[in-house]
Amino acid sequence: MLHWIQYLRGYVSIKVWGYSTERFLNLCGNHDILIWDIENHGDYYTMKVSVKGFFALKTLLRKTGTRASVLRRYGLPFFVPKIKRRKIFVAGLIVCLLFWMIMTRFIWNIKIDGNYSLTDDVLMDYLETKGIHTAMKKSDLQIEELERDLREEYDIITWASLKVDGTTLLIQVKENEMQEYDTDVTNDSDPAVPDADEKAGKDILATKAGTVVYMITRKGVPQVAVGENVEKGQLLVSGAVPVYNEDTTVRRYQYYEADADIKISYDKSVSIEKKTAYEDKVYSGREKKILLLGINDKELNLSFGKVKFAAYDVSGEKKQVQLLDQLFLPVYYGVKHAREYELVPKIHTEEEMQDIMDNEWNKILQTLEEKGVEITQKNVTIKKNEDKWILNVKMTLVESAVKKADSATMQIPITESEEAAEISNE
Amino acid sequence: MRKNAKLSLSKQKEIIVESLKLPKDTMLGASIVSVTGNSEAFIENYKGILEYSKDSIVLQGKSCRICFQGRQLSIDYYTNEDMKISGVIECVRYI
Repeated sequence: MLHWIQYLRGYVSIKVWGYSTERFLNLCGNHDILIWDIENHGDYYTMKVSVKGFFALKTLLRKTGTRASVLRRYGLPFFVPKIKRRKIFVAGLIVCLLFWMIMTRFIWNIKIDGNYSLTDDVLMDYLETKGIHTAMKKSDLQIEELERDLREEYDIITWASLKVDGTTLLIQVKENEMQEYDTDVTNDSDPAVPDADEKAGKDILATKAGTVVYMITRKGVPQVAVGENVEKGQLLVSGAVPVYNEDTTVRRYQYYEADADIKISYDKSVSIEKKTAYEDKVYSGREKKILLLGINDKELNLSFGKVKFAAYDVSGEKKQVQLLDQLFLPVYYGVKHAREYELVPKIHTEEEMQDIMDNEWNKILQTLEEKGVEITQKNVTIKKNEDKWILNVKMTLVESAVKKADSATMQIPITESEEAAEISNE
Repeated sequence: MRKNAKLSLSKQKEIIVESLKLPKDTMLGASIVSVTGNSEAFIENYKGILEYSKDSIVLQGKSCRICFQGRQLSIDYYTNEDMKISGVIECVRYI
């Protein structure tokens, strides 16, 4: 702080020499002239004194028989006249300051935090409709109103908070974890009223041949029963629901989107063959560094001399040039390493082969688990030959192997009474 | 005889200051020297500088002289009230 005051008021570094410099220092103290950074250089002293103090030194110098000369000037009073000569620099400084002052009045970045079900894009689109976008004025932001709008627009958002941090608009939301987000949440139609549409009916078809082991129909007419064998593409639940006359004849069909939980059991066999012989990469340890520069899709590799290895791997990292937080330039840079290797033929040991087979089996299990497929029965056999191992798996799987397709238009059977009516009309 | 009278006067003054628990530096004009490590020293209540070189700084106090000896000694600031000495202080002597 003191240093800043000294800088604002200006000070000079002086050299003092002569008959009685100690007396000169004492007199400075007695006359309340602040001096600091006093250094003894043998024949002379250097010290710093304020501009005002420097002018008061004259009598003291005369009194003590010492002499003083200015070594250097510091501070704003000396800087301003100097800067006056550099008009373009000052103009640039002012323009720069103005630029920053104006730019900081806008929002340049929108960050959304805490959203899991609602994607950033969905929220961004909504914000756009509300006039919130990058390069908008901070003063146009109605934070309270927007927080309320967000909560009202999306039922899943239980809490929303908007904060302006510098030029960033930080939106924090909390979603209701109990409610699964449904795109139809904002649909105005009452779910109690069936959305019967003659053209938009959907059937449920089987995507795999097998046996139906579980079936609960919520909407539509089931066409098969539990325990029945079905073919691929067979109709399981029809979206065409018949409306009967009093005499139990079909009057017309109402088309719905069929909805049911169906599980089909089917057999599947998998066979994986792995050879015991393999080629191992043995790295020689020799490495060559390649510098990488790139603009858009074009890359330029810079290295001292060519890579002379017979076989080599190239690995490396490419970074994009970034300005500020969000501004990416299409310029890339990085370093690649070419590592020499030699292919050596080797044979897996029994333990290694066992591990490989276990991995393969785990991969199958994982894929099935990801798809939500249950295994009800399995038979795993490994056939060991000298040059290869074969993994044979026979499984019975249970899966919700169904798909939806547009309902076929159903013909309404003509009843006897209708036939009679038509005849009488004629 | 006169010297003895002066000594007894200062002794009496000291006794009074001590019994009234008054600050000695203001009442008796004693110098205050605060040394931080061996690199910094703050001095208050002194009359002036008698000698200043890189190896020694001698100050005139109200009742005695204080001599700082060391290496690369310099005065950071110097006012009528207090001063700060920095450098490698090896010895502080009261002469």
